Amino acid sequence: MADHRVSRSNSYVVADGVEKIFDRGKNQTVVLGSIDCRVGEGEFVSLLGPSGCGKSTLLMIIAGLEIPTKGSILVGGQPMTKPREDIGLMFQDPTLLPWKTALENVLFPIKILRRNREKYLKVAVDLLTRVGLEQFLDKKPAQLSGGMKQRVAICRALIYETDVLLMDEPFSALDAITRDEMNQVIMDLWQDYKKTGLFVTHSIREAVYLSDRVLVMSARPGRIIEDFDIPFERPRSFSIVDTAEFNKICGYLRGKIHSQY
Amino acid sequence: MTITELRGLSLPLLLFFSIIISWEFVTWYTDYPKSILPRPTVVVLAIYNNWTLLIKNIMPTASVAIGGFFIATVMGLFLSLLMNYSKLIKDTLYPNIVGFQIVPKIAWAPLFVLWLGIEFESRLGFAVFISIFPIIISMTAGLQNTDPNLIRLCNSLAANKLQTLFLVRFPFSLPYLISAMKMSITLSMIGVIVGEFITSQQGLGFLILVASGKLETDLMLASILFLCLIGLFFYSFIAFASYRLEVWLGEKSESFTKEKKGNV
Repeated sequence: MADHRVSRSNSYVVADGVEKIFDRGKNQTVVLGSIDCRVGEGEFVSLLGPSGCGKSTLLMIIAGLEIPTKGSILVGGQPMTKPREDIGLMFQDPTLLPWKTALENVLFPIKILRRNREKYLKVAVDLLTRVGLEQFLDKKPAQLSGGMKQRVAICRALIYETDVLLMDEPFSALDAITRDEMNQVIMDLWQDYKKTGLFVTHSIREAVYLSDRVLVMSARPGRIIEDFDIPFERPRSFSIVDTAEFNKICGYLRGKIHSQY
Repeated sequence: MTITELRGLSLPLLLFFSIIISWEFVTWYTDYPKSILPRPTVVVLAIYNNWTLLIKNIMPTASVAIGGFFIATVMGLFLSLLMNYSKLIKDTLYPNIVGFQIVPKIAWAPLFVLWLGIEFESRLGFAVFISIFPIIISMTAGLQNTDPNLIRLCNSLAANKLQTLFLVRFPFSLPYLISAMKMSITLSMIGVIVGEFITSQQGLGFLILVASGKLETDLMLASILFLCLIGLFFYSFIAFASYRLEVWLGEKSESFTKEKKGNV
């Protein structure tokens, strides 16, 4: 897997002229209309846009789960043709296995990838401890709250030494308070693990708070209409969300999104 | 026992015993012919008088029913897993199964006797035949309805088809299997009894037929009561399996006391 890593580049994930057309007989839906974007290694980038603009489709294409109609994806210098072990996924729902404990759920990718369980057991415990779930290792998902389940899902996405983490609106099903908590969890994990992250969301505040860069997408067919650098230094504290600058950026991005209606 | 639990138990029992008591009273009061509708106490007496006969006829019916159910479950499971594994097999086989399912299956019973003979094989075959459909249809749906994001997760890990099938799809569809088994065991019993009606020298279905020929309605009702008890016995095993499954899925806690604490 080391060969995927081409030094610390500023274009670790590259989408080059990616188009996606869903072809249902007579009805052709152009979901993505020529997307070019780059995400640097260790960078956290959010994709912001109205519902149905194709953000999730773009994420699935980058994950190698959907084939683009045109264009290509490079991750770590290698073209994406099929799903790869160095890319982790998170969804809107935690999608845990209900019959497995939190610990076993985190170890699930290790089982699929047929890696040495003993070796990763400690990693799994460490990750769960890191997100504050050390008391819940042997609890099943039904006994965990929504936020706890998403924490397990984050650990599951991180355990197999993924270089890139693709997150598809992972916190949109959570209440506002839990959501802020989860943003903090992600922020802290990023401080420690330095992954390359692509985060799909329709919360402007969340995007600005978490990201190094925010890409705004237009309504369908999705195009990138704004590429905005977030100036806040890391590590960030949650107090920045109340600053005038933070709100100014949010207002600017909101204007960009609404400009298309 | 809480008030709700007491209520849940007492209301159905109340209805049941009121019906039995009014049946007893009305048939006694009107002196209704015993050969058409015997009093419940007469049925109880018939059980007492025919005890050995009834007991002797339990096994032939119960063993074939449980055997048919078991074979149907294993075969149904195998077929639905196979159809999930191979799209070619599914596209070829499944429409035929669904089409066949519409045919009233009871109508096939005499043919099974013709093909498999008058011994237990024809009854077993017929029981399998009518009880396999719910297993195949429910399991096919269950394997298909697994959370698509979980399948995506497996795909993103480059899991092979068998890993996805056995580590994710199959455990996910177990609740479907359990509810199909509840239907299937009842159908298997129906299959065996119909088989016994057509050709048999033993079994509770055979006993009902013989008693009917001699107008021994009390013995017929006694046999039916025994069939109910066998059905209930089988059903309780599946209900227990269903409870264990819920515990496994984390929907219920291990012991009832823990669960109560959780609910407070």
